[in-house]
Parts: sequence; C-alpha cells; structure tokens
Amino acid sequence: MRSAAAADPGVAPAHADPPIVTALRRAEADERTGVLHAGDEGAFFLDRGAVTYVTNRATTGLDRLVMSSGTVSAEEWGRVLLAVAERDGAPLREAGRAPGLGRARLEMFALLAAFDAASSLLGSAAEPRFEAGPPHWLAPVCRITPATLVLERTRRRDRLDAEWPDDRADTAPVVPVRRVRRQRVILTGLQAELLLNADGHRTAAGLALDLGRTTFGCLLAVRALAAARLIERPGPAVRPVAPALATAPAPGEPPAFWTPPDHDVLVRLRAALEELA
Amino acid sequence: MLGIDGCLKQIMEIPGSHSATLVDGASGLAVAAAGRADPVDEHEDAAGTTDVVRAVLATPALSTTRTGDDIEEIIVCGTRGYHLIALINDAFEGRLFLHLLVDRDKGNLALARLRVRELLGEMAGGEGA
Repeated sequence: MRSAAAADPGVAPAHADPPIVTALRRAEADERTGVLHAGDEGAFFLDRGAVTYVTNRATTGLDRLVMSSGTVSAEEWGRVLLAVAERDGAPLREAGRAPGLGRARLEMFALLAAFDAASSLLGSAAEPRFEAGPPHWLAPVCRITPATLVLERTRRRDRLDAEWPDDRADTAPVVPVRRVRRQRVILTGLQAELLLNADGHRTAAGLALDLGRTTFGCLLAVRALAAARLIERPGPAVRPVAPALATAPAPGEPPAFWTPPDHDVLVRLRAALEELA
Repeated sequence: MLGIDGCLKQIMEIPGSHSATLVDGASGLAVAAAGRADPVDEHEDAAGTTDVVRAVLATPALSTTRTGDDIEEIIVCGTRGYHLIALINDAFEGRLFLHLLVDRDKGNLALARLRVRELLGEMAGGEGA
C-alpha cells in the first residue's frame, strides 16, 4: 500500500530537481564555458561554470530594462550593442562612457535581468542542451553561482505565496475590479502603473514587458493587488486532493508511528526504577 | 568607470562604516554587499530592510505633504550605531536602496549622509554626469 503511494508519479517529481538544475550543477562542477539552452524557452550563459547572463522568452530582458529606464538614449545603447557585435569591440568600455548608463548601472540592470530570467527558467521541464562557445560579453561584470540562483528562486516563490497564495494570478489576465469595497487604498508606484495600464487582456508578465519592469516585481505587485481585492481574483481553486490522501494510512490499520507497548520492557523498567529509589 | 563593487568600496571608506548592502526593493534581492564576513547575512539584511522600506512607503502618516512626497532616507539610531537606508529615487527599475551601518563612536551621521548622497549620485549618473 505504502510503496505504491511512493511510486506514484504525481508525488515523486516534487522532490526531484528539474533537469535544467541538474545540468547547471554538472556544468559548474566541470567548469564549462558556453550556453546551456532550456529547450527554446531561454538559456544560461556560462563562463567556467559561473552563470554570467540568462535569457528567457517570458521575462523582461536587459534591452527592455535599459531602454525604458528613460535615461539611456537609443543611440548610446546602440553603440554598446554594436561593440558587442564587432570582433574587437569593447562593449563594457562603451557602456562606461555613455553618460546616461555607466558601468555600475549596466551591472545593476544585468543582475536584475539575469535573476529575473533565471527564477522562472529554473523550473523549466524542457530538455537541457549544452553548446560550448566563448563567454558572454557581460562575463567580466556579472558572475552568479547556480546555487545562488536556485536559492533566490525558492525565496522569490515564498515571497509570492506570502503575498497571495494562488499562483493562477501569475498567468491570468490582470483585470481591475469595477468597484473598490474599501474607503482608502494605498498603492506603490508599480501597483499604480499596473492598474493604469491593465487592459483586461495582458498578464502580469505581458505588462512587465510593456512597461519595461522586471517580471518578478510585477508578479509580486499583481499578487498584492489580488490580496487587496483591487483586481479580479481567479475563480475557486480546483486543487487535487490525492497527495494528502496518499500519506494517510488505510482505514482499520493502526497509524505507523504507534506501536503496541511491550509489557516485558515496562516491567523491567519499573524494576530498575524501584532499585534506584 | 566605477562598477558596483568600486562604489561600495568607496562607501566603506566613509569614517565609521561597518557594512553596506545594496538592495533591489522590488524583489528584496541583495544586489551587492561589502563589509560582511557571512554571505547569508546580506540576504537576511536585504529581506528585512525591504520590509522596513515598504512599511514606511505605505504609511501616510510618514509623508510630509497631503499628496505624499518621496522618501529619500530612513534613519534608525541605535545606542551603538546608526542605520542609514538611502533610497535611489531615479529611473532605476525597482526601488534600489543602500543600507549602511555606521558605528556611533567612530562615525558621524551627517558626514555619512552627505558622502552617501554624493556617491549614489555618481553611481546613478555614470561617468562625467
């Protein structure tokens, strides 16, 4: 009975790492340099085992973050990208020279984009594929260990659940409510941006891309809006009940952590205690 | 052409500086840290200070005008030191802020505030701005 529950395919994968995490750990141990693709969803760029940049089709990329910051002109960013494409270009020097960007800001944007992309890509079920190649141009300024990315992913998911524990809010279109059943509402700047730009069709990730904000920041804001009843919440949850039943003992069977008392041992224990007294 | 680590190093040269953490307030991510031996600490620090910043921003009683003004700094004075939380109010995505712990005997709060503003301005403005 019990062994059948343990072999249930619905229970086992919850504890196992997704294939992409295993592949990333292996690449770190082998100190490999190149690109680790997760299907066609995105890729991790590696330099001697460390992650230097992450792309993800579903999250807001570096380009979008930089361009919508409002302080970097298209021309300045274009010069950086041109230097990336050139054989002997120096994109980092170019970025440091741009008055609206600077090296520190570029580093910051790169880190935010990489963590943002990694948090959802690490859960990908796609088959990982490694391709050796030269390190990414951001390698000198951005180095993250795979373990840090995995920890950060767990932390971020906990943060989301602490805000509003229903992950359907992440994928559903953001629909502001028509009537606010409160006298006073306090919003963060980002929450206001989301409410003002929601068109009833776009999801949190779509709005993030449109506004040039990090996807995680928007997911967090959307969950907070759901908790505050400012956007339509998804309907009642349809939750599978099987995992909870799988661990319960069969009816009539005594619980496993209770065993009948051994009278012999009890008698000997009492004798020993009496001797002590 | 200073990177983040270069900027944090300069911040650590402020008299009395004990530790500095640069945090992304939108996610609670510790972007960079200096002056700490234990790497776990910086992430706890980031999570804790993010909650403080959030709470202050969400409290109408702590705004100066009726429409609400932006918060630049949050200062917590302990008997042994000062915590300076300086918010970077510019176009940075998210809400980046710096948490600096200054020793009460060796440091000077007014000086630390001035230097932090200067250095954060340099970092945000890039070279020559």
